Amino acid sequence: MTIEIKKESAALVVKVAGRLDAVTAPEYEKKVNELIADGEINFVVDFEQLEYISSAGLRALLATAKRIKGKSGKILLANIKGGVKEVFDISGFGTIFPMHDSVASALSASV
Amino acid sequence: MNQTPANIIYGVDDVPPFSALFFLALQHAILALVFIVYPLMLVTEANGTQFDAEAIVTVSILAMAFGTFIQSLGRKGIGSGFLGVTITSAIYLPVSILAVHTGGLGLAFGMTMLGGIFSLLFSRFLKYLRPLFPAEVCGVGVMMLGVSMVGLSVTRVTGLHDHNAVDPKAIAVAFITLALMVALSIWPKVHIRLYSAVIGLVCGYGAALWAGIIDVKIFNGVMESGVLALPVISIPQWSFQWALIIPFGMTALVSSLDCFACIITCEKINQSEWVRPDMKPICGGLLADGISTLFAGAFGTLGTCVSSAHIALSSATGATSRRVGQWSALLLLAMAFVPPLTKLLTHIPAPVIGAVMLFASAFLITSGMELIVSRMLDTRRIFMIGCSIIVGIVSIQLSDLFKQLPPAVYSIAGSPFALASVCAILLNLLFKIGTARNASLSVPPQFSSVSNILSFFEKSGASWGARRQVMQKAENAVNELLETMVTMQLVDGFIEIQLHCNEQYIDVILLYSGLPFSSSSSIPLPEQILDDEKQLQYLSVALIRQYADRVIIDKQKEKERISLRFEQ
Repeated sequence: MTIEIKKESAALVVKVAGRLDAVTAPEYEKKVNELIADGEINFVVDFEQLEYISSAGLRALLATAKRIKGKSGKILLANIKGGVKEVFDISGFGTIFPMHDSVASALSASV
Repeated sequence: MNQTPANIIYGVDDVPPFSALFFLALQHAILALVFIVYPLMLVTEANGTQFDAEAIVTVSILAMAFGTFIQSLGRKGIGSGFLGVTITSAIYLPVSILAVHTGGLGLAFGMTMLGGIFSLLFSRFLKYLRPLFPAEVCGVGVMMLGVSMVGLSVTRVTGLHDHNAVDPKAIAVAFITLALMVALSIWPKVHIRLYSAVIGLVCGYGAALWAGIIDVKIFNGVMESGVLALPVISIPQWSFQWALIIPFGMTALVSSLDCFACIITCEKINQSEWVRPDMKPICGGLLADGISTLFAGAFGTLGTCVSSAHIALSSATGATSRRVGQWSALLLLAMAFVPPLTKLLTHIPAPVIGAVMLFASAFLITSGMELIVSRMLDTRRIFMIGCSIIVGIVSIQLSDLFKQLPPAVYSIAGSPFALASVCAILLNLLFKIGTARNASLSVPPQFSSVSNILSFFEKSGASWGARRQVMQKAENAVNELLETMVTMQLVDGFIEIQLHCNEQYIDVILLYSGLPFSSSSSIPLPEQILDDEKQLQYLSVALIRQYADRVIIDKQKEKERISLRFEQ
């Protein structure tokens, strides 16, 4: 898994590529927690290049989202498709995370 | 045939009102007429007369009407019962041209009848023959069919076919036809894209008239037989050659596989909860395909197949009623009684035919590539595919040299499609030697075992030529299982993973000592997962059930066993 961070005026774009599972989820959690500790509270997570997410990956996503919410921040998801979208639909996570077709649309919604 | 999807207005069993039925059927019938270019090409390759051209157009229309009717009727085990419009097929064109060059039109039609008989046999035995013809072998055949049509198309597009010299007017007409077909297939967002071939052909015809490629005088005789007349059919003098049995047998196989794929598509668009192929309509559809090709050969035209373009049209219009198919057949039958239409179709200009052929060959080449890359490839398969394509290309490059071979050898070596297909089948069989269909791996219950498991699956999948998407589903399911086993500390000792693969499915079995895996099918709420780690197990089960087609959780002797099946 690779994580790329890009600062935009409305939010921080976190681009996650590869597999988000029990092996890589701790790295994702650590990175986002560091950003929260640095004062960031608005996030757009770009899943365009995410190939796979497991239940452990979903759990990590939920845990970080809870922390962001605790700081009155926002987390929006963008570019969820294919097998990853199926996982979101089956697990019901699709109903609790605002999902957008593109990073641009997520950024304009986060303003 | 229930579970009609929401986007389908008239499902397969519905009867649309007459006005809708008529216009839907008319659209399908007009689209079918585009495919007359293939049998016309056969006549020009045989240096046939105007009478031959009119006869083949008439018979082609009748064969399409007959094939469409029995395909859509679906009675007594004949026909799929879906809206499957039958057309004269580009798949049969390369071998039919080979037959024409060897022994004239009679040989092409006789061998087409034999192709029909092969298709009848395949309809009964195809499921048993699948191991001989995996997707990548069929992909090589389909790709080479497209490649072998390129030369024939280019001579028509450039004008070399008519004048032995490059004709800028021919190139311009072909460019207009091809550009329209391509542009209308890509950019419009409305249904007009479904008629891209019809529009391209009509505009190309007009451009050829304007450029003087065809003389307006040829239309003088269009009305000479009147507006309505009985169709004129002359039964051809069939002949057969042993040497052509393999090329035509291979062609019939590819046509049957194409029909197989078309009927599966019909099943999918008619059932919102489609899970796996229903073999009854498929066998009926293949049988109808064989009968229709037999009819086509007997009366003197190219072999037939179910049209994927028409399936796309039925899906896009939301009308998949079989009645539409039956009415299309009746309209096509009526068109055979209209001589001016037949005569107009016989005069389709060569550059227009060339452009339509290029359009079709582009689709065949990419369809073949798609089939090849749908499977995981190891060195054996890469070598099998590469070598087969190379020998096919050699057959094109050295065609003059190959003509000096004995007829029996030339019948295969002279056809890039047949040569590449035979090579692919033989190399596939040869490379099966030493390839086990079972594999196993033991891993400790740790998250880090995932990378070992993934590379084990990739390696095994590539050596078996497993379908890439299916193997990815298996990897995802096992990843999910492992995570839960480790998180919940279910395992004492090692986890044994067994893999078994054949053409129908991939089986994955996990064996371990310890606590049983939950078989609960309830999905926890996201908040519950965060508060209680045990809930993660239930979410895993739900995801695993989504990935796998079958999940069995039981015991084998003292060990816990989880068996997953993935349909290929």
